Amino acid sequence: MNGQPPITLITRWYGVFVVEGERVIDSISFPEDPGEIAGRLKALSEGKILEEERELAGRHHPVGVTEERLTSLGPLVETAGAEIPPAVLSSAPDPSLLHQALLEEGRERLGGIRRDELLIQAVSAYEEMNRVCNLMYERLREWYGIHGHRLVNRVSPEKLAELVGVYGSVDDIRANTSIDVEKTASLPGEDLAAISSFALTLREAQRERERLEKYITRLMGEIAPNLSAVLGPILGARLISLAGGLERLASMPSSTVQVLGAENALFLHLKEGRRPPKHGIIFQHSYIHDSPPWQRGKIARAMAGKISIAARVDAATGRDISRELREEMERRIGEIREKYPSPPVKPSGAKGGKKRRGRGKGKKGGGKNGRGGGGR
Amino acid sequence: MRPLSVLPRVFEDGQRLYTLSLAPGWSVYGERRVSRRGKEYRHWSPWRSKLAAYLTLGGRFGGKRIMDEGASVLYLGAASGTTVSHISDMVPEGRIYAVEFSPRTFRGLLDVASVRDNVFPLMEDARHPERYGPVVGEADVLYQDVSQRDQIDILMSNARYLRPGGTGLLALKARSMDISLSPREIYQRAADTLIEGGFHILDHKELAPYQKDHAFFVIRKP
Ligand SMILES: C[S@@+](CC[C@H](N)C(=O)[O-])C[C@H]1O[C@@H](n2cnc3c(N)ncnc32)[C@H](O)[C@@H]1O
Repeated sequence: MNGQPPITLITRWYGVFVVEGERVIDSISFPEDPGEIAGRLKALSEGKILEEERELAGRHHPVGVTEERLTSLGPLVETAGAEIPPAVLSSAPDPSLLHQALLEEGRERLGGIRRDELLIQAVSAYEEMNRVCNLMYERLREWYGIHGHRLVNRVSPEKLAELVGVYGSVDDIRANTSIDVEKTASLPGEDLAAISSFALTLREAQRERERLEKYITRLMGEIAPNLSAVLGPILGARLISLAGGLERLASMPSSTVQVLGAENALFLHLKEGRRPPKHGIIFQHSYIHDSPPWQRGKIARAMAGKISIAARVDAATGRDISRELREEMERRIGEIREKYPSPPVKPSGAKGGKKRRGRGKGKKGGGKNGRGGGGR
Repeated sequence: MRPLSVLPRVFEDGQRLYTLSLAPGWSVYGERRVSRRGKEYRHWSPWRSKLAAYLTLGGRFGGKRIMDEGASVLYLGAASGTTVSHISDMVPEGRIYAVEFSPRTFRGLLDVASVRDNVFPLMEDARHPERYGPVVGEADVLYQDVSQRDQIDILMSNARYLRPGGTGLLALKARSMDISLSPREIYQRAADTLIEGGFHILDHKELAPYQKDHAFFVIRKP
């Protein structure tokens, strides 16, 4: 006598069976609905016990089980494998039901789309639109300048595209608006029409860029409100994109964050021993590029620190600590500006040494934030 | 186009391999499609698929036809479905359970499965076969290409779903197993482990030049 119960419990994607040898003595089928099946597959994959399994184990006590997962219901008699009684196999419903359930379950498990993936695409699209707009605007200036040079220098890119797109000639612009400029040279209607059509396309491209900016601002508010507050939505989004996602950005040391986007310079530093880059893409923030050169490294480092904190909070909880972060950052930047109001003193003439001396000064006076460059 | 005797719906034209498409009009990974007498064939590149590399290098499973059009296949390490799609072409009456644990690649696999009714995508870790047991049941062929250090263990623990007499196809990546040994030594050890585990080895081939440091094993469960 081996003490094993003569009956076993077998679970398939379509139901639970109690079998004795080759015979099915009891069973519960799952509802023939992809959603119902998907839900059960999920539970199975998570190691849970299904209600149907409990029910049958209760009805047929003691029952042997064939999976580790079920050992609280009865002794493990053998590991489920290829040997499934034909009677169980033959009661399978149409496999398209399983197919549908797995597709649903698979999509569900991917948890929809990661929002930062959308953000990465959107910010690339924004940059591309930006490039397109700049290129087209340059072309429009030159092209329309043949006819109305004065106007070209008087209005914003958006206004220029709109005026030329809607009215065409300088005369018509003057007739319909309060803008009063002279034309440079007359152009036949056909030539003006070509420029005008191009200008309309540019205007549409500019609108698309604005729409993308709004969309990115919204997405950033949703997935990285703190980073968005510290760095601005577009720059923040570009940083996430450079890092390859919010999670990755959050896991980077702030010294890496500081040079993200300066990969070329970093590469030359590692490979050829050139000066390490001081700041990557965050340099584009007005806090840094509007500051005098000798303050930039310090400000970049201060910002990178706050950016790292912001990204970590965004990735972890999304709690909004943007006010504190901004206040602290502004305070820190204020300190730097106060502490280093004027360029470091030049010891002697050599021209190329300017920046290096900047760092030297930092080393003397900068306390824990010593060196302007390297950072790591 | 001549059919290959060892696999259903696989053809060669002297230079290239093709599978007869189950989903005409669709390319899965940018492969070329050609039409002959109203049928669409998909080019099956040895550079993209290890099974195609094995066949291109003359591998024929020891002369055995390892499956028919109704076969069921358990495929571990399905990635985004490149090889899976060609096996799907082979088994219009069968099914292929495709296990892949990386969400990023699984997304591509879902796309393949959504136009191919015989592909059953499972986002699972092949190290935990019990999690998909109730779905899989019994397979005629077990295909494994996971490129992991414990790839032999993974194969062994999934072999419970392989029916007796079924075939195992194993792509072994030497570098993921042990870098202190030469690939040859690694293949030898793998073969020993497989034999100890009760398998018969029907054939094996190294996949150069198509894959570096890869061998392809064809095994049989007694
Ligand atoms: C070399 S690729 C497979 C390529 C694929 N067989 C083809 O030919 O189209 C290996 C895949 O195995 C997956 N993988 C690795 N370990 C795994 C595991 N334990 N469970 C499931 N998938 C795994 C990886 O995510 C990767 O996509």
